Amino acid sequence: MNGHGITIENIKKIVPFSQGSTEIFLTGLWSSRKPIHLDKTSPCRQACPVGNDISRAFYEASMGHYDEALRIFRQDNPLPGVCGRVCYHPCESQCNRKYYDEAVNIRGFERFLADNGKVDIGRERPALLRKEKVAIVGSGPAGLSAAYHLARLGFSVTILEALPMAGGMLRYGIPEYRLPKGILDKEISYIQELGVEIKTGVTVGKDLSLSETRKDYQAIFLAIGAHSGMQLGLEGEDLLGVMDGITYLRTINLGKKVRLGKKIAVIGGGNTAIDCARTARRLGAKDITVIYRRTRAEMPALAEDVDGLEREGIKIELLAAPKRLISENGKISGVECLRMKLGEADTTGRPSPFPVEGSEFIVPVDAMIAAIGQAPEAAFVKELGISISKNNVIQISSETTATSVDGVFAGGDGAGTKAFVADAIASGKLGALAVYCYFEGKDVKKELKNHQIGNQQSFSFQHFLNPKHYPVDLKKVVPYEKINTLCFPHGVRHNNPESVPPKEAVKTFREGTSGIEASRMPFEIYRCFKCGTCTHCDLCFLLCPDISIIKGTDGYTIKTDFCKGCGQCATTCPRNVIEMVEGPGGNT
Amino acid sequence: MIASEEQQEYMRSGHMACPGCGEASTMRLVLKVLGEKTIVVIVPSCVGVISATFPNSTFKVPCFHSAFEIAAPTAAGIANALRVQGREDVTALAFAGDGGTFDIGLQSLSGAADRNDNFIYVCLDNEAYMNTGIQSSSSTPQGVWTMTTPGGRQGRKKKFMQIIAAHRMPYAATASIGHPHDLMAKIRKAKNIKGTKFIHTLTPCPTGWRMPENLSAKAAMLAVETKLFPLYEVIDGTEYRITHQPLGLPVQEFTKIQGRYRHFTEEDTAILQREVDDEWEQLVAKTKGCKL
Amino acid sequence: MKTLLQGNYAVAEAVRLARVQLVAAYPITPQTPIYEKLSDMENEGILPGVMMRTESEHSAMAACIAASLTGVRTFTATASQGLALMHEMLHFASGNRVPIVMCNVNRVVAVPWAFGSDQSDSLSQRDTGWLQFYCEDAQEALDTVIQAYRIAEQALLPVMVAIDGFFTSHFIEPIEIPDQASVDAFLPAFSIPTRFNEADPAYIANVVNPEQYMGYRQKSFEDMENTRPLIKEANEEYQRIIGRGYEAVESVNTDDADIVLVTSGAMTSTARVTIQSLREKGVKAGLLKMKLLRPFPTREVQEILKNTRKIAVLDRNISLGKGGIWCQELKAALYPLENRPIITGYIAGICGADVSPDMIEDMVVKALERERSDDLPIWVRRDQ
Ligand SMILES: Cc1cc2nc3c(=O)[nH]c(=O)nc-3n(C[C@H](O)[C@H](O)[C@H](O)COP(=O)(O)OP(=O)(O)OC[C@H]3O[C@@H](n4cnc5c(N)ncnc54)[C@H](O)[C@@H]3O)c2cc1C
Ligand SMILES: Cc1ncc(C[n+]2csc(CCOP(=O)(O)OP(=O)(O)O)c2C)c(N)n1
Ligand code: SF4
Ligand code: SF4
Ligand SMILES: [Mg+2]
Repeated sequence: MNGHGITIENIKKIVPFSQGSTEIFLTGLWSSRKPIHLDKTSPCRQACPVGNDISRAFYEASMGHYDEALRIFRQDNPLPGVCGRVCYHPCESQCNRKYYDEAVNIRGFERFLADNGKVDIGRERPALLRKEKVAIVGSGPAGLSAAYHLARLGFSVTILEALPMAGGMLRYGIPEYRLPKGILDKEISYIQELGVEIKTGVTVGKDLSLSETRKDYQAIFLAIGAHSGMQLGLEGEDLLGVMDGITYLRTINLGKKVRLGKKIAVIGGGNTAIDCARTARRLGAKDITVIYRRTRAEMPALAEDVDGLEREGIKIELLAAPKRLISENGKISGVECLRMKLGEADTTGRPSPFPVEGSEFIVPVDAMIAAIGQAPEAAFVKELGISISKNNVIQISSETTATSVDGVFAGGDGAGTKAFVADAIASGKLGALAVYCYFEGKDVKKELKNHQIGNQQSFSFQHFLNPKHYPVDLKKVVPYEKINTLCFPHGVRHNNPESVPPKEAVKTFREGTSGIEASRMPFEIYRCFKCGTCTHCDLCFLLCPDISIIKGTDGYTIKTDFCKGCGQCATTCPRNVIEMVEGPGGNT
Repeated sequence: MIASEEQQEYMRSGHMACPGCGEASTMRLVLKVLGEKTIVVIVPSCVGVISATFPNSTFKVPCFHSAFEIAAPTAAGIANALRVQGREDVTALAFAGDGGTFDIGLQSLSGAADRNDNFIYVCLDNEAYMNTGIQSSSSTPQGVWTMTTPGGRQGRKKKFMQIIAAHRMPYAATASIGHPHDLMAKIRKAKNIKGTKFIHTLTPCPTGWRMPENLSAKAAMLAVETKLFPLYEVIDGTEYRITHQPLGLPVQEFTKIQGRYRHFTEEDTAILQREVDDEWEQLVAKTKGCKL
Repeated sequence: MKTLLQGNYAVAEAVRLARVQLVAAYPITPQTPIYEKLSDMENEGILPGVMMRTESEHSAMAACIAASLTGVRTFTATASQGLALMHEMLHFASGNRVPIVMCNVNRVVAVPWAFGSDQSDSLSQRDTGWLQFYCEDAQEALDTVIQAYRIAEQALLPVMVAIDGFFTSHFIEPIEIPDQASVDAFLPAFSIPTRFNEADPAYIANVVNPEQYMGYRQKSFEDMENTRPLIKEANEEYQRIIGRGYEAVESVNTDDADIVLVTSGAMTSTARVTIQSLREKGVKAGLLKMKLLRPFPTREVQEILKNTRKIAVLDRNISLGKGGIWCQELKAALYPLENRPIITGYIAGICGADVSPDMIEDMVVKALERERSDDLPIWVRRDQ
C-alpha cells in the first residue's frame, strides 16, 4: 500500500496481471507420439556368452562405484578375474565404440574390477535354502558356474572333481603367466563361501559310479571338460619326445617336470598350442616352431597371445602341416611338413587348407607337441544310458543342457559347447536354470526366452532373479546409429600394459600383463557409450522444452499430458534409452 | 551435476512454443539456475508467445513483457530499482531474440552494458525474426533462406560476441541448449558476478530452420561440434576461455539437416567451412596468454 | 527566502525535494541543465536516488517504466527530438499505469533544425495517455513537479510537466524553494507496491484479447477522468501546506470581458501585462491561462467562457492541416454551449519567436472585430 492507499489488489485490476498456470493447456494433445524411457541392451552384452551387463557395470563404475560394478558382473559371472584375463572378448568385437574409434577395453575393465573391487558374498546368499541336492561333475568354469548359480538359487551343491584341485583347464591348462592361480583360487573361494562343497580327487565313474551319484543327488550337471589330447593320426606318435599339448600343460601345472630338449615343434594354432610353445620357452627351450596349417588370421588362439609368442622369439610356420615324423633311435628327430594352400571356406567359415604337392620340408626337432584339439573322457556316462557322440561328446539339447536322461544335464567342453571359458560359464549358468526348472516344473525354453539377451543364447541371471530391479528391454539391442556420438569426445583405448618385458618374460611364469592403472581406468570407463543404460545424464530432462520429463530419485518419468511429442529427448539421448512410439509412452 | 535447488522448475508446461522449440528449453534452464529470486524481462519474440496470454503465465517468477528494443534498459531499470530497495538478492534477467539483440535492441544493450548495470542478458538466437514469421535479421547466416531472403541472405552473420567483448563486460559467454550443463554453469557464474552479464545462446528453431522438430537440440550440438558456434566465455572483454573442445565435425553435418540451407552448393559449404575454420583459429588465438 | 534560479534548476530542486529514487536521463537542449544539475546533486550526495545515464531518451523512459514497476519513484526530463524518440515508451508507460513524472522542455521538432520554444513536441504526445501540465514560469514548474508526483501516484498514470524552452528553462528568476518537511507533508513517501514480488509472482503486460484490451483502455480512460478532483485537491493541499497554488485553468478578468485571450505557458506572463494595458485603454479584455491539457478541463472552460462572445487563442504550436492545438481543443470544449463564441486562432511565437505585448494587443483588438469563427489560424510573424 502506498501513501494513497493503493494496494497490489488495486493494481491487479487495472493492468494485465497474470497469475494463472499454463498447465490448464494440455499440450500433450498436440501429438500422439510419446517417448518411452526404458533401458535397452548393449551389443557387447548380447555378444558376451555369459551375458554380462557390461554397460550397466560401466555406468556404476563411472560414478566410482567399482564394487557395485563388480557385483553387476558377478550377477552373471562368478569368474570375472578369470574372464578379465583370458576371455576371447567377443564383446569387444561387437562394441559400438569400434565404429567411432576403437572398441572399449571391456575385458581390461572386468579384470580391473575383479582385482580391485570388494566382493560381499553375504549379499548374494539366497534368502531361502532348498532341500534338493545337486551334484556337479567337474570343477572347470562350466561346473563352477553351474554351482555358483545353483547355490544362489538355494540348492545344496557338491562338486566332484577328479584332479587334486578345482578349476579344470583354468588350473591345469592355462599357464600361470596368463592366469595366476591366486586369482582362480580367490574366485573359487567365493563360490565355496556361498556354500558349494568341492570334493577333489573324486573321479566319477571310477571312485564313485554315476548311478550311485544319481541316487545321492536329485540332479546332476556334468561338466567334465575335454582332457584327452587328440592324435595327429601319423605314424610315430608313440615315439619318445612326442606328447600331446594337454598332457604337457597338465603335467607342468601339476608341478611335475617334463624334459623335452632345445628344439621343439608345436603343432596347432589354438590356445593350447600357443601356451605349450610359450611354456616350453619359459622352461628353457630355445628353438621353438609353431606349425599351423592356415594363416595367422585363422588361428583360433587370441591375437594378443600370438603376438606374445612372436615377441618371445618363437617362430611360426604358417600354411604347413606335418606329414611324417622322423625318428632317430626311437626318439623323434624331425617333422616333415607339407606346404598348404587355402581353398574354399569350410563349415566353420574358415578356408580349408589343402597340401601343395612336392612341397615337403623338414623341421628338425628334439621333441614335438601336438596341440590340435582335445576330446572328453565321457565313456563313464554311458552307465546311465546318456548318449555320447563318437568323439565322446555328451549329447545335450543346446537350449536346455538336458542329456538324454532325466535329471542329468551337461555343459562345457564335455558337452561340445564352444571351447572357451566364457561359453563354459554360460553353459553352466544355463544348466543351473535348467536344474531349477526341472525342480519347479517350468519350461526352460520359456524361461530362457523371458530373460534372453538380444537374439543370442545368453540370458540375464540378474533379470531372472528380479526383473524389476533394473527395468530393461533385453531384446532391444542398441545399434551404433542410435548412439548420439555428439556427446562423446574421441579418445584412445587403454590397453593392459605389459608387465614383463619380452626378454624377461621368457624366464618367468609371472603374469605377462598388468591391470589398467587405477588413474587411467576412469578414462576408459568414460569411453564406454553405456549403450542402452540410462546414466541419468539429465540430457533428456534438461532439453525437454515442455518440462515433460520429471526427474525423480530413481530415474525419469514422462509427463505425457504436456509432451508435444517433439522427440528431442529420443534423438539426443546419448545411448538410445528413449524411443518415440505411437501411443501412450511412459516408462514401460 | 545439477545442484539440488536447481531441481526446481520455474517454467510451466502447457506453453505455446512449437514442439521442439530451442528457446523454450533454454529459458527453462536459465530459470532453473537463477531460481525463485528472479525478475524476468521479455520482449516481443517467440518468448512472447511462449510466456502465455492473460490471465496465465508460463513463469513461476515475476515477469514483465517489455517493448522490443528495450530488454536491456528494462532489466537495468529493474536492477537499479532493486538496488534502491535493498533487494539485491534478486536477479534481473532479460530474454531477447536475435532480432531484439543484434538489431533493434543493440543500442540500448550497448548503453546498459556501458553503465555496467547489474543484470543478466540472455540472447535467444534463432537466427531470424521468427515470431513475425521467419524474416532475416543481422544474425541470419549468409546464404540462408528466410521469407525476406528467398534467394539466400546477402549479408553475413554479425559477430556479436566481438561487439559484446568490446564493451568489456565483466562476463560474457556463448552457450547452447545442446550442452545444457555448460549453459547452466555459465548462468551460475553470471548470477554471482555484479554488472552486466551477456549470454549468447543458440536456440535452434525447427519451424524457421526448416527441420524436423526432434532435431533442434541435436542441431545445437552440431553447431558446437562443427565449431560453427564455439562455447566460450570472455571475462572483462579480454580474457577468453573455450569451455568445450569441439569434435570438429564438418559444417555440413550441421547444414544438411536444415531446409534453410537446402540450396547450398558444395562450393557454398566449402566457403562456410573455411570461414568457420578461420574464425575458430582467431578464437583460439584470443585464448592464448589468457590466465583462465 | 527566494533563490535566483533558472527554471531547469528549479525543476531539479523539485526532483530532489520529491525524494525521487531513480532518475534516468539523456542530454538535449534546452533540457540539459536539469540533467546536469541532478548529476551535481548526485555528486554532492544530496540526490536521494540513483542516476542512470542512458544512451537515449527511449531507454531513459524504458528504465523509468521498469523501475517504477519495481516500486520506486522515478523522473526523467527531455525535449523535442528526445520526446519524439520516446513516443512508443509514452504509450508503454501509461498502459503500464506507472506514475512517472517527466519534465518536457518545449522545443521545436526538426526539421528544420532549431532550438526555440514550441509546444508541438509535447502537444503531439497528447494521446499517449499522460496527464499534461503547462507551466508559466520556473516557480510554477517547481511546484507543479511536486504536485505531479502526488497526482500520478494516486491515479497510477504518468504526468508530463511542460515548460517553455529558454524562456522558462534558462531565464533566472527568484524562486521560493519549499523546505523538505513541507514537501514531505504534502507528498507521502513512495511506497507503491512492487509488481515484481517473488512471493506472489505475476506476469504483467502480457497479451490480451480484444475485449480485454478494450476493458483496460476504458478503465484507463475512466481513471484519467478521475484525476480531475485529484488535481484540484493536490493543488488545494499544496496551497495549504506550501502557500502557493495554480488552477487547471486560471481566469483573469473574464467575468465582464468582451473578449478573452487564451494562452498557455510562458506567453501567459506577457499576456497578463497586455490585458492590463488593454483594460487601461478601455478594452474589456480577459485572460484564460490553460495549464492542463489532459485531462482537458472542459467543464472549467465552459463555465468560465459560457457568456464570453469573443475569444482569441494564442498557440505556440501548429498542427498542419488544422491549426493551433489549444484552439482546436477549446473549440471542441465549447461546442456544447448554447451561445457559441466567435473564436480566432493565432499561431505565434513558434520556435521562440518574439511575442511582444503590442503584438498581443493587436491580436486581441483584431479578434474583437471579427464576427465569425474561422477555421484556419492567423499566423503572426514579426517579419511580415
Ligand atoms: C591350454 C588351454 C588354454 C586355453 N586358453 C583359453 C583362453 O585363453 N580363453 C578361453 O576362453 N578358453 C581357453 N581355453 C579353453 C577353456 O579352458 C575351456 O573351454 C574351458 O576350461 C572348458 O571348461 P569346462 O568346465 O567345460 O571344462 P574344464 O575346464 O576342462 O573342466 C573340466 C573338469 O572336470 C574334471 N573332470 C572330468 N571328468 C571328471 C570325472 N569323471 N569326475 C570328476 N571330475 C572330472 C576335470 O578334471 C576338470 O577339472 C583354453 C584351453 C586350454 C586347454
Ligand atoms: C518496435 C517493434 N518493431 C517490430 C515489432 C514486431 N516484432 C515482434 S516480434 C518480432 C521478431 C522478433 O525476432 P527475434 O528478436 O529474433 O525473436 P524470435 O521471434 O526469433 O524469438 C518483431 C519484428 C515490435 N514488436 N516492435
Ligand atoms: S523432449 Fe519433451 S516434449 Fe519433446 S518428446 Fe521428449 S518429453 Fe515430449
Ligand atoms: S517459431 Fe521457432 S522460436 Fe518460435 S516458438 Fe516456434 S520453434 Fe520456438
Ligand atoms: Mg530470432
